Amino acid sequence: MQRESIIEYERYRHFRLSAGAMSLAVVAYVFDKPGTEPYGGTVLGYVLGTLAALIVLFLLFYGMRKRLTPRLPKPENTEVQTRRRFARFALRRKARRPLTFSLKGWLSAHVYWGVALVLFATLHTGFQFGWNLHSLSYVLMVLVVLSGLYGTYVYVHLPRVMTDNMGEDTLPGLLAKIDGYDKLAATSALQFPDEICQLIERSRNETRIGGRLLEQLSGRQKNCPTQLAVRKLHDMGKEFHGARLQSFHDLYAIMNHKEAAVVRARRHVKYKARLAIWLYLHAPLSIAFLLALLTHVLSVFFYW
Amino acid sequence: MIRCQVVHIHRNSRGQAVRKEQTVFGETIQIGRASDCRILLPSPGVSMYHAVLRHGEDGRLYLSAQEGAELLVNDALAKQVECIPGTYILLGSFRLVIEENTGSFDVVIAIEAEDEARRAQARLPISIAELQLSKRRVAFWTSLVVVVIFLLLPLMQSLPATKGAKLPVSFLDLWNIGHMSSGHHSLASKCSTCHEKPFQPVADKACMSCHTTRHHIADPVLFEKAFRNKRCADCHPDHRGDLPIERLDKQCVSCHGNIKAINPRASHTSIQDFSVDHPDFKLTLKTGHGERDFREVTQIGNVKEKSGLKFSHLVHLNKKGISTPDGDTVMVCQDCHLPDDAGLRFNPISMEKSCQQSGCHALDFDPPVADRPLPHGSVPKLMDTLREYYAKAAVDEMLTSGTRECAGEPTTGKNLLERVQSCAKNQVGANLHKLFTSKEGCVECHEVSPQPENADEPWKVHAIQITQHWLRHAAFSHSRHATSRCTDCHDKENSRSSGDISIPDIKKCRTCHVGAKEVKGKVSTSCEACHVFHRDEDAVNKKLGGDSQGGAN
Repeated sequence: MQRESIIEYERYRHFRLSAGAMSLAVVAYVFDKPGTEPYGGTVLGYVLGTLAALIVLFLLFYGMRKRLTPRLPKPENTEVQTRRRFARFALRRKARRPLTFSLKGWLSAHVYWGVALVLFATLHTGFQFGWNLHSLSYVLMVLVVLSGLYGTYVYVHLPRVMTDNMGEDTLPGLLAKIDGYDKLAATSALQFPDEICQLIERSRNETRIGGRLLEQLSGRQKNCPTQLAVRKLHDMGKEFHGARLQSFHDLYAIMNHKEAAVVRARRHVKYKARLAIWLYLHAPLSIAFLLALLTHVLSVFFYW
Repeated sequence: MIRCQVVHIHRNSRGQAVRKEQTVFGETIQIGRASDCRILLPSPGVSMYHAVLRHGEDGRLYLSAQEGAELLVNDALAKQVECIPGTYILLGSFRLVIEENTGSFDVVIAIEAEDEARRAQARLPISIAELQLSKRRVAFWTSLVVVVIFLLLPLMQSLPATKGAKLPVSFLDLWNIGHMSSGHHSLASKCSTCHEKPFQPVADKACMSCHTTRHHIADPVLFEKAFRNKRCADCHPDHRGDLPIERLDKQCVSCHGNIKAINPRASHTSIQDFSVDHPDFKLTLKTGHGERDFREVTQIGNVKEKSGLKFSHLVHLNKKGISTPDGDTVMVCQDCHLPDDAGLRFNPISMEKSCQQSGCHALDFDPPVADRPLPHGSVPKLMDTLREYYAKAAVDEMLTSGTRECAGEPTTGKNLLERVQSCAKNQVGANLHKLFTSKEGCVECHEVSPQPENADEPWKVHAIQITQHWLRHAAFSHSRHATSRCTDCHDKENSRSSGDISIPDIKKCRTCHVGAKEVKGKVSTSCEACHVFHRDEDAVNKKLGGDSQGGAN
């Protein structure tokens, strides 16, 4: 049986909990009659703001919880230890399955309560924004949540796509294969005119797999020399006859294989980069957001 | 003849160079990947016939690139290079080095294929981790910006100890939750005027230091009850935008939504929203001429006004026209009802301006005297005019005719004065009788009664009490409703009696207006669109033009 993802964890437990909380918040906001336009300073504004701050602390705790997982896991013990460690947080429940605080459960809660945070914080603002610290905190929060949602998407979606792309191969294996194709092509090209040799040489020297951040993320190379070589070789097929044609076909086949391998390798690099990059925003911005949030709380009560 | 020693260098498994020498001869020596080249470099990066080694005209030895090919000599592109020891030439994936000529050769060329391992090492980063990006660095710098710009600098400008820190920009603005109200613009950047102590809510004392009077509820007991445990800022939060701070948008219903809880004796019911539970309008009917002479009547059923005026709108607004000295004329509302300067109500209607202007309702002598109408508005004045006119007429007549007759009738009296008095008295009496009894006279519009004992005012015209301000608790602007026709709201076209009241009821207003909550196709209306916050009503009415006379609305 396929294991349930962080989205479906415990039959959408955290979705149900957070959706319930969000509904309550929306109902309270709609029926609240503060006597002024809604903003963070009404009674409901304070309540929503406090709840949002508590959610933030809960979400940040995930980062600590992740690091608390023992480095040398003994599966049965880990669970017991983890449960023991967080037993004081555990809620009593009637359902059959105990409310465990596995890392997966934490992550599932982290995702859903992250989404809920946006709603709580938005209602807290009363849709009042400006060029100030308070809106900066909001924007940082939205960036953190959006990057987190992107992370959730790639975590749930990309592993299967990566497996489909790589099959049994690994990236080092694929790069070795590409080197092999290069050597074969170099030998095979020697007998052909300079024009073809140059294509093969350029393909060998200038084809880029990985590289700078944007190259990794895009998974493409502009005017890729390998693709150019394949295209040009395809057009040159008519120029050869007899045994040379056979050799040419061999060269063309080699370059075709190389191109396919290059595309797969780049795609793999791209997926890996996408799996990793969001955390370079998510984690640092969450720290900046926490500081902005603390400053926000300090400033509004400093000038109460 | 060139004698060239070619040294092929390979690396063994430990990376040590293994030299294999070969000697080639020829007038010229071809270098390329073609099998007939004397120096064969099997790499696709090398042209078929890439370069040739030959003597130049000066007798020196040169390596020249063939047409279409190029040499990378000491990291620079070149077409030809002299074979001097130490020269480093890159040719495809081969490195050629001209070595010191130690034997009987013209030139010694060491050739080494590019190191495959080195090539493999030169691969690009294939993961984000290899890019040496640092989450901590991003966290540090973004946090630093937040802390310095949004915390430390504003704090520097706000703490009492460092107050007055001279900075070119007010970083405190970054803490400002919104624009200050229009009345408080002068306090901007003087936070401590209101926020006297950090971490303490703005105290009423701070507000009262400027706002010494409060237009709230006059009754101090009720005031205390209504505003118990409330700070000024609860109802008047600042930093909510560039608007007056005394906005009442939603504040009225915070008390009036359950008014009995605050004032059980309140004369009106609780109101949440105009379109939901606003009570029927209360009409103000005049009962006398004093400021306070009125009574309030809920606008239910057939309420009549007793103004003392006889007037039929039906007759005057006849669509076929009404008979005037200028012929049949179709009248419109604006012929009589002219808006006041404030655009709220209408200027008072006067007999002279509205009723006699076109020659209708002229008050004349009997028989009429050209260019000499009778005055309207005061019976004693009328008497004076009549007496004066008829006395003069009698004198003129008797003096010129020399008879004792006046107006064709004999007069009595000892002397001319008595005869004139007698004559004038008769004439005045006859004229008055006609004015006050004929259908076309005063009784056409007024209730009159004789009082013969009063010689100066033998007829009493009953006072007109036209209601000036029908909806005393509201301020209705006619000019803001100019897009509607009068008869859309006031059903006067079929009114025969001046007692008919045609102030539209709340249902009529609700055909266009809803409360504060927006409804598509309707006009949202907050409380203060019609009402004014607890202030002295008479003063407000005065301000709104409540003094204007005339049953205009």
